[in-house]
Amino acid sequence: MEHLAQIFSEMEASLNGLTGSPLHQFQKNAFSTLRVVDFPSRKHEDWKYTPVQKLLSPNYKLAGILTGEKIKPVDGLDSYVLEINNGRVNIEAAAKNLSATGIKLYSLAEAYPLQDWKDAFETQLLEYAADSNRAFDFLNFSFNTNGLFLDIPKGLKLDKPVEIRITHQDDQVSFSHPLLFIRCGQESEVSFFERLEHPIHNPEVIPEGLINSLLLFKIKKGARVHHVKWQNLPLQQNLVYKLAATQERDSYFQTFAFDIGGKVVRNNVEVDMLESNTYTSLQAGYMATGKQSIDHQTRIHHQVHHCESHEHYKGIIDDQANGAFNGKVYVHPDAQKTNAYQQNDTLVLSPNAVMNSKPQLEIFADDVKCSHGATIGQLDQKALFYLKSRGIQGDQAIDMLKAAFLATIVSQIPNDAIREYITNSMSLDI
Amino acid sequence: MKPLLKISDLHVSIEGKPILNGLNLTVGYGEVHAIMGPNGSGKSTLANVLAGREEYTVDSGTVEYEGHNLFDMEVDERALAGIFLAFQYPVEIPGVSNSNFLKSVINAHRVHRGLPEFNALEMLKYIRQKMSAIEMDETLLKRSLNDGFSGGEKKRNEILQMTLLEPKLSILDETDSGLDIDALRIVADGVNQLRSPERSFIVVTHYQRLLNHIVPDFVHVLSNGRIVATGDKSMALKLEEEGYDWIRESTVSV
Repeated sequence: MEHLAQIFSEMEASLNGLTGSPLHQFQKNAFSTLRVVDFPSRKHEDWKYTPVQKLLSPNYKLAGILTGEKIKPVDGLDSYVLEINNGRVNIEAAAKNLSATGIKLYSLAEAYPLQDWKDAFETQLLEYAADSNRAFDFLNFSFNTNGLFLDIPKGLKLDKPVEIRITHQDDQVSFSHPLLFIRCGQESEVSFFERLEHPIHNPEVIPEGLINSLLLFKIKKGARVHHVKWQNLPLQQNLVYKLAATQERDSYFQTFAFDIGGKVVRNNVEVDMLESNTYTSLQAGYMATGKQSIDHQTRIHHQVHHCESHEHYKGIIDDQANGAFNGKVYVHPDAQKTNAYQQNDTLVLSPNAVMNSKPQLEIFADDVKCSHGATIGQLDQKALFYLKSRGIQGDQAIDMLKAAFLATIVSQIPNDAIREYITNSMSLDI
Repeated sequence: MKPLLKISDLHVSIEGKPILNGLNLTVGYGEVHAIMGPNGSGKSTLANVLAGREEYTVDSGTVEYEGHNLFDMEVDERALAGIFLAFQYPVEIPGVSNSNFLKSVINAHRVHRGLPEFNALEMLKYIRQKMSAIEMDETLLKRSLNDGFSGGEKKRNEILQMTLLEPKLSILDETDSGLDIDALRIVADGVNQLRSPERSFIVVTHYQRLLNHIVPDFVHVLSNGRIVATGDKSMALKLEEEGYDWIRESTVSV
């Protein structure tokens, strides 16, 4: 923490004219909260399977301005590009790309004093208890200077996805803190494709890094939001990722998370259903190999009646890799007629691979339909024999079954170019 | 000329329990052998051991396939060498599309035979032609392999694979079980169209009715893991009328 305090004062010193601004005030508050709550230890129920000490052991500096290459476009994907390089949103370029859409963009320095931003997010942020569980949120708020508030106007039906390219490249051990606030206006329809990647596939020598990314959605009445997260970071980079969404009446939110890269990867998804008749779908497919650690935590709050949530996480853990799924669906006392489904399926392919799965339901209403479950197993030997008995060689048969396992999630990505890109990147095109 | 398959004094067990107890069988090129016998006599074990199923332990005996030691060959090598098992219970594999599966398998066999891979168009044409011959619904291509197929659709999919791969030795493991009379005729047509002086079949069945459509050259009766009687097609009729009791009696008295 003393190391962080030093980095924080260095950052403050570089603020120049912004000292004392709402942005600076927000950062200062966040950092003093972080000092109070501190990072969670392994004793913390929600962080039991995430090696937080390992994640924080390098003395990260704040990443400098990106000088290297940028992430390449996806073949066949027509999108509105928004780049976040080393935690900094390239606002001018994003504003240019989005200019014709009617979407408004604000830097955080502009956003924090805005009543619109306060209405959409501040109350929500203040309501959260200051708990070590949120330490990485406060870390992000403390160190983010170039975040963005995207305001999607009422009724806007966007013709192509907003592609968010997040990359971290530095020649020193450093961290970066991408931060996005996105308000999806009433009856709007938008889709997002978030890519956490590095321009070089499997770079050999790069310093350790941490991306601590935070994406907050405010989904207004009747809005429909699709989101796909694709993560293929180098094995030297760690990731703490959080997506938090609030949903108003009649809204629809679908998110996918696909992870194959990174060293220690922690994914968090939190959804608050604030009003009735909403639908939420969380799905994920991931592969952890070598010594990777990929961990998912989800929280769905059914606050009110007549909402539906669907959650399906599928992972393959091999070699000496670790995986964890810690999912919780809370059905609050007023949430009658809730329909909630939660499932985690894992293939553990090596004797040294470890998976911890904890699907949980907490139900305080009496008229609900909820189910949850987990399976952990190996490849189906009968299926393997069937494929081999047709002349398919052993390794290829194994690859086919691994691909088949994840294909049931990947095949549901609505956008063709995105689906194809992820299918190929995960080597599922067998 | 060496026979296609020569099984000599084969002893096989599963989890220490003996199932095949000194089985001898020789299958020449172009021959159709029916294997009949009561439940638990070892019929399915024989079919699965030939295909290479790992759960079974071969305790002693030899199997030569075209003069090679079959037990030196991996499961996929046996398939590429021309051995095909039509499963009694075809496995459902969600997530693997039936068409992708068939394409990979057909091209693997073509490459093994030194032929160029089919392109997408040639592949589709080839598969369609074989599908229509066995009156199989083309929509099954788009579905996951055997996933949610009815019993009859699964068996038809086995026969489709057999006709696509044109194996030297086809082993049908109770392919007739659970089939109605029309489906039975289609399965039999599939086999009969493939029959040639180079190709052989082992037809494992519980009932004689399939053998009205696939006329065997030899009928063997398996009991307690050994072949206890061999005859021509007329023996299948005798078994149908009289059951297996006479076999049991005659073997006990031996």
